[in-house]
Amino acid sequence: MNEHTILPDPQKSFGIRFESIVGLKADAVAELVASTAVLRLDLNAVQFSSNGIHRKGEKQRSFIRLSEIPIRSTAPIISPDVIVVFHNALLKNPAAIAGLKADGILIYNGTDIPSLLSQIPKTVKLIRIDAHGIALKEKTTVDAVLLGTLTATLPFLDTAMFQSLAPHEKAFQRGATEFEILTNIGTRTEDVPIQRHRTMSGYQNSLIGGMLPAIGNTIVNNLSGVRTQWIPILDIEKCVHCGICDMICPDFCFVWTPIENNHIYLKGIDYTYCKACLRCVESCATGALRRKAESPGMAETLGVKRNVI
Amino acid sequence: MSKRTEFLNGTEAAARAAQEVNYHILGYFPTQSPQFNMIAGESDQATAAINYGASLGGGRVFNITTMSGMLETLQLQAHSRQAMVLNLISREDHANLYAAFHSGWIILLARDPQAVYDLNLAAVKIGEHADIRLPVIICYDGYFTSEQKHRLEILDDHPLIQSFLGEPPHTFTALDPLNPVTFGIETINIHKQHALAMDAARKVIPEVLSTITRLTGHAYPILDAYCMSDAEYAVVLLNTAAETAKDVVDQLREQGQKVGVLSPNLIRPFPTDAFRDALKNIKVCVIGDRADVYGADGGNLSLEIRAALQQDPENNTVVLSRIYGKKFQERDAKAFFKLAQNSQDALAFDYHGTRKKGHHASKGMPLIETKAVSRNMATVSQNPNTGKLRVELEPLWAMADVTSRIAPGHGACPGCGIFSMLHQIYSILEGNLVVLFQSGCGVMVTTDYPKTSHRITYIHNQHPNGAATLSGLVEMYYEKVKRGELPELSDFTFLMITGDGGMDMGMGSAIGAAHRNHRMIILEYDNQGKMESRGQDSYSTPMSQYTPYVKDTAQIFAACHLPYVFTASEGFSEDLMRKVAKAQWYAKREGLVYGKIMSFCPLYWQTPDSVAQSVMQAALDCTFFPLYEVENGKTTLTYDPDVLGTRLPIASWLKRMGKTKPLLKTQNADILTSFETEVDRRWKRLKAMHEHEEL
Repeated sequence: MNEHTILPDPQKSFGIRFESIVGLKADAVAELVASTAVLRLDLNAVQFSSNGIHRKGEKQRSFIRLSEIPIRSTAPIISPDVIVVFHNALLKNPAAIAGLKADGILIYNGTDIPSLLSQIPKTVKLIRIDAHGIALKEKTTVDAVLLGTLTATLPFLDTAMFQSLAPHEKAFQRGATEFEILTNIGTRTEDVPIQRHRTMSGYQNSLIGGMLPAIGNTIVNNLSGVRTQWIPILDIEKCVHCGICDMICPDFCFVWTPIENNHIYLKGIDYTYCKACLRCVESCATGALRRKAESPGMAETLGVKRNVI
Repeated sequence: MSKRTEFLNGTEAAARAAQEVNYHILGYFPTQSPQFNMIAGESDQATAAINYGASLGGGRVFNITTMSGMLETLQLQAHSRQAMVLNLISREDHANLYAAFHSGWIILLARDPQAVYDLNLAAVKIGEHADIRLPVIICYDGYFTSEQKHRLEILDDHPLIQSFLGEPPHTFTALDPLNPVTFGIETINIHKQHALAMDAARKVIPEVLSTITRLTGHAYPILDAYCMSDAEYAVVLLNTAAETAKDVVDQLREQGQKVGVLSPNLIRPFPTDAFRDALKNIKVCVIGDRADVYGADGGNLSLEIRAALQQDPENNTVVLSRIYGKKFQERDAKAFFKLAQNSQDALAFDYHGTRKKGHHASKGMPLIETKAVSRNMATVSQNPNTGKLRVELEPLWAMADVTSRIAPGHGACPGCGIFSMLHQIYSILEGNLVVLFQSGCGVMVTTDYPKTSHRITYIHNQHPNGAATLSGLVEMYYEKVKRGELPELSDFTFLMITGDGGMDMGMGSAIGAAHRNHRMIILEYDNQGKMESRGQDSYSTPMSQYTPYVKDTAQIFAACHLPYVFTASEGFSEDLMRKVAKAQWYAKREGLVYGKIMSFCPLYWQTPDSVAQSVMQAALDCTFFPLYEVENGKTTLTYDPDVLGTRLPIASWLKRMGKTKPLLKTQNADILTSFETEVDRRWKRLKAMHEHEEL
């Protein structure tokens, strides 16, 4: 272990939480940071990610606990010193900032100022980086950019050391230099309250044996957050209503008119469930379905609501 | 001893230790009487599963079994005195660890990845000791210790480790032609020997562990006692939960509370004396168990500690037993210490961390009326002369109006082929449907309690039991119809969905069901991997570590001489749907149907989410995945790229997927050639069967 201290408080562990989506490689960045802390900075570290199975598009949290004293805890980090938000859409959910310490740091990927950010403490160091834009330009992914921003923000992580380890050097460098520090956004005076996951069931009012008499109640879910870039768009003029898109859509997003004169017609797409796999675009023979970069409000304007039948 | 620092999780630490030990082999991964509707299962496990399925059908069931299974295998290994090492990753509760308490193995507990590494070395030495000669389990907490990465020290001195381990014992082996031996006999005297070996282990294990401490610098007392010397209140916990409680002890000690934590590093043999000594002056101890021994008024650990204390007539410790869940965090440890210090009215035994009243499940979707799904999208007719079935399909657009038996909002990956497949199947199948899913992605992404994507009755069971369970339900249905307890009109079709390598572990059960020829359908979505466990290879993985080519499940079922076996692709809807219509026809009239359906998995195949069609088409055109059906023994190809002129070399399929692209490199030419040769051999064999009436 180190002779001299590195972390802000040598008696306490330093918690970093990544708010991300499977596929954006936050888990890989977390492992890189933690293993480097152990192998090069001689710190103790524990690193793990939240999701048991690895589904693309699923919300994923990665945790890094750094410490100069041995680490015993295996719990998720509920009050982090640093939060890094890998995808802007995650800032729609207050869970993304839950537990952030008043003297903490929040780094997020974006070009806007989501309204949720007014709920962070005034004293938090708020950092914005257009990781998405940089990644597109550099033809890489956001992980390299955000690693750059993180290491440039934390004095004990040596940017030069990480540069050679980063998945993309140029993107890393741009992440380390092109971030902005935003001020006067947060209004809270204390830590953001922590959020605990509570089990939904109770032993007095759940059916015995885990029996669940519900019928298809995942229909109340909204999966729009899974879309990270594209959205399929229907040009009804070109559509011949063949039904192939409906047959192969894994998320049952296509909405049809009721039967009239022995025929039904495609009406549109319910984007509530659309994860933008774009299989429909690949399979559309007439070019009626195309992909477009999704901009805010697009799904609401162009979408059609599915009937619950 | 030179050491190096690494950053590893528990399973990686175990692998490092295994590397050092240099093991030769690493292995990872069942009748009864007349008068009744008897189903003879292919194994004891299957009979249990058959009864489970039958019971789900709402009738009375009965079973006679000896319960031959994992536990008995472990017991036999221990009675036979075969030293070996098993890393047991305990699940959400510690139920699998507690089952192993009865196995006769020595059991060490590893609280973090460092302990996993160190104890894996100790285990070899302990198990092979001349006075012991027993198999050894090292148990650690799943998810926490197995997956979380930690800093740890690896011994960097292979010769020294080898000299610590010494030579494996020289004894009778099954590979010595000069000394034939009979293995596997048990008598009470053999059991007494086993018990004596456990006694010997109590003496040997501390010696071995102190050598480990000398080598590694890490202490492994039989019973880890944290702040216990002057403690008045203690909690006893296993593995990671104990570590969490230590952090809480640090906090409470600052407030002057006399509290401590006990956690054993060895649980078999049970450290009776150590517990008795450690608890001598404790006023109250709270013992946390992650699994209950239902009806025994205490968790297993608490029962054994109570028994230990009972031998000390002077002991006055109050013992409270609490069952806790997977997530044991600081607040839980605080609650335990608070309970210990305020125990006047406390129950001797209770659960901790449960919730009385939860949310009600959201209502979801309306009940599906049978007429909304029985829409004649496929018309099956039988040629009276040839007996052959003919299927007429409605156009695809018309099917968009069939109410789906599965709801949107499931959590699958973008592009997941399971759901395209289900949508196509459900458009065709008519009447009431009961579906059973074997463990796999399809289960995990559709049932997140209290939510479900299923709009019809759905049953989940593990891989080894699915087909047996469904077969039990099928027989319950027909028995109830026969007794007039269910109207025949209820018109049920029984469908099992499996995939993610479900026909590896589930093959025994499925073959059993096939040989009994129950009226049910087994459909396997073939995504070529075990995706629910993050993309492990399965026997369906082409060129995997398990099988050089790919397990030909369709041919295995064809060899069961079922009425109908088919292969299909969710990328070729019409072909799939015709076969599904036939499947239902046969399953209602003649017996079991098996279908293997290629199913897109962009995560595992490493492709963009959108390219399902082109990748799966290439798999058909290179003949890796031939489309055919075997109808009452007659094989018919339903897609022949040779005839259609669409035949492609195998490389044109492999190049489309990230996971197989490296095979096209010149250094892999030999592998590619042997794979292509095998694919071609199987294709020619199928063609011969297609062309020949009797093949």
